[in-house]
Amino acid sequence: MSLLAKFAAVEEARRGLGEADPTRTVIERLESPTLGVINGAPTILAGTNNYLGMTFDAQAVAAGRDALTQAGTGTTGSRMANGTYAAHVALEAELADFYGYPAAVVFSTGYAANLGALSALLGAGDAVLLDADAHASLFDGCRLCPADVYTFRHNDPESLDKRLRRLGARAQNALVVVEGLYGVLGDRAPLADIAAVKDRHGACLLVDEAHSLGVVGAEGRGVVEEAGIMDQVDFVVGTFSKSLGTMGGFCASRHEEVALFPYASRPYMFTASPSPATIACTRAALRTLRTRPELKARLWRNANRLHQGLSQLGVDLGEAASPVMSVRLQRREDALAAWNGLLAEGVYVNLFLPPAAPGGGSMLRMSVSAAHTDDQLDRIVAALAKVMRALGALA
Amino acid sequence: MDSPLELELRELLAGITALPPDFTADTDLLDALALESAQIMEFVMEVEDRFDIIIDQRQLAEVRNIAHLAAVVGKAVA
Repeated sequence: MSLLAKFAAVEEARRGLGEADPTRTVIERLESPTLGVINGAPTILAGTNNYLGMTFDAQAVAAGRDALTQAGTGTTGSRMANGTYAAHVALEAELADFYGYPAAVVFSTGYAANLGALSALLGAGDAVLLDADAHASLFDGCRLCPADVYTFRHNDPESLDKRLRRLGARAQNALVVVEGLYGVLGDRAPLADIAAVKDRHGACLLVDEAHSLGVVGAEGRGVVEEAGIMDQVDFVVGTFSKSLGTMGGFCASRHEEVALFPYASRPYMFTASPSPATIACTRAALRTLRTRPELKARLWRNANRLHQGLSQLGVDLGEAASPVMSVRLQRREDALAAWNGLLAEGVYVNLFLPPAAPGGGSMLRMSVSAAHTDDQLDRIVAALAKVMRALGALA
Repeated sequence: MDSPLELELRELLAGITALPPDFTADTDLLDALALESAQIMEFVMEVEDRFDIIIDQRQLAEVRNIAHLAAVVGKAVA
């Protein structure tokens, strides 16, 4: 039984989370993008990454229903075999058009997109430099590669510059990997400065826009658009599972070679392609994203309202409003109690315990949706005030 | 007796986490200190900046103590 012995420690850690294990929350029913039923009670969903409220978009739901009827429940195969339908190819063309790039590749999940893009790009003798706060999928993608892996300090172009300089001529075979908008604290990468540094050393830049697609930039193309580096960034990766409300991921690039990634990417080859319904929903959601800018405007209005309400409570919160923001608590047990307290008050958020939270400590992460009502946002603030006061964490 | 390089690395590590009184260059970093991954990353970046070097994460896979790390750093600065 030695193979299974390690799970004793896992079970002990799980028990330490108490009866209401935050990793096993079950949403019993959904009433809307922002309201569900948990433990039999109506609960405001403030931890879903459903930034544009797209999961119930009428056009996406109708498109998915039609595809299910016309093309069946699944493709049963890899994109490299029988799993490429006309709709997959059409979505790739639509993504390329959205970014103004020559090509894009669709993967089965956002996680697979990061693994697939990195493993296609990085070979022996290459170097990859990751922001220290980059998502686990980006670190995992690097583990798949024979390239040398380095980290630089979070959002610190000077730290990156030093490391590229230390690489010498090898910097020209280096890939810099950052996120546009970081998914725990909601802070943006200083992309214009990072792009200038990578250009100075002749390196390439990959930006993960998982949390910023449809959320940032005049046309919703993310922080790369906002920073004005669409023609400097080499690869943009992202997910369909947040602002588009579906499943899947992509890599788009100004380099035509991205179209060859499938031939060099095991996470692309050795998994089934997204189902016809998933692709149909994604295409419809992308059309909605492009034609209804009012959703992004509403999201930011809501983010500002929630940030203002939370700031007035005096909780430890980032300075700038963002669609994803976290309240930091120093004590693990306080964070766990606050998370349970919020759920009892009918508010679901995400809980980050060490070592998952950047900078140490624990965090309650809230993500805002364009679909949140003012009443829901105000109730989130009121519920947090109540549980934090009960913990003695507020005056 | 710890070497000057090992002592310097130990000083950097002490800035990341409290070291036990009996800590030496041979103390197992993971077993004795229960360092979190973020702390390890921070420590490595501190070391890189102190010695103006760059350390591949795969080189760290076999580093169990300060003596091992000193060997990696010594090679990089040579």
